Amino acid sequence: MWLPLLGLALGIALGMLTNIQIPVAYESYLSIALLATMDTLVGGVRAHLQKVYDDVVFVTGFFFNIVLAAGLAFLGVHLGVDLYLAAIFAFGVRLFQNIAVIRRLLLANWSEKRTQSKKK
Amino acid sequence: MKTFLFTVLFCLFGFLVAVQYNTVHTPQEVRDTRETWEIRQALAEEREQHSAYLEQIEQQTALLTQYKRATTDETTQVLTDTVTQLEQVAGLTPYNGPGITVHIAPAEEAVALGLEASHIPVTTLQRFVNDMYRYGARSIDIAGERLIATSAIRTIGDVTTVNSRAIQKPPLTIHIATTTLEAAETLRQRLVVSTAVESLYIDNLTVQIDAPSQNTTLAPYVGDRN
Repeated sequence: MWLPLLGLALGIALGMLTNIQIPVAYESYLSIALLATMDTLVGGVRAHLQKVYDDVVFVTGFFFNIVLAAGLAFLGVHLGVDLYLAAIFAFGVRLFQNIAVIRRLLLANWSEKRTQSKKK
Repeated sequence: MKTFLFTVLFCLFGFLVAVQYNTVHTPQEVRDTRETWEIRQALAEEREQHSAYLEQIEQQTALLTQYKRATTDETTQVLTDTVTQLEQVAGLTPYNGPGITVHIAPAEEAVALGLEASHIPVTTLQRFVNDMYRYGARSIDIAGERLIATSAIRTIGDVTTVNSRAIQKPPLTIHIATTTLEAAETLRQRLVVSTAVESLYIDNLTVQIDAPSQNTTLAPYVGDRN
């Protein structure tokens, strides 16, 4: 558990120390990529708790989501329609759904452990 | 493998968050892409504005000094003088001083062809007035109608009006006040070659600009001051 959190801290530190900025025109792509990554991570945690996690599904899901979301944003820019909003909305809904499932699973696990420890 | 993938993705997520934060919280640099000549022109305009402000400050400071020095009786006189000065600037009093006179009349060709004289087109007159102010006119009187800050030149029906009162069809006279005789001469030379004069010719009207005079008279504004 601590290793992924360490990875998170390392990523933040790298980003802040290098002070990398992207042009304002590409901000929508970055926010899409951020949401896709968040969605993949939360989806992965949910799959792990549901014991249906698969490495291939996890990695391909990440890349496919990124490509689709960036493709939508790119198409939207050239058609003059904010299509990236559709991706943001979809990822947002999935995030909340996955977080709700994770919450239920964690509560169920915690409740089960409590019951078992009381029986002992 | 699972832990490794999660670690990589968390690292990437952290990195993207930091980059997004840096992008959003860094003030965007506004590049000035003007060329040297444009910057020089802008600087010249600002300097002119600066001089005008300094002149106004000097006038107001002198007036303030006058108020401070004045006794009770003199205060009334100073205030009355100030009101008179402001009325002069606003165009509410007659003017007599340096300026030029412009005569607009139907073109001889139009008269020969028997064409009926019509009112000066509003857009042409507005453009002519704009040219006058641009080239140094201080105050303008069109056929006895003094232009003030709230004056409007517009068409009501088919009639050209100034200050909501109809002006006569050409021939008519426009009196223009300037600060000095030299400024009047400069204004005359610039008006002679202005595009507004050509526009008037298209409407079968000729423009004759008299030589600058020290005794140009402008009528005071008469009308609603609201």
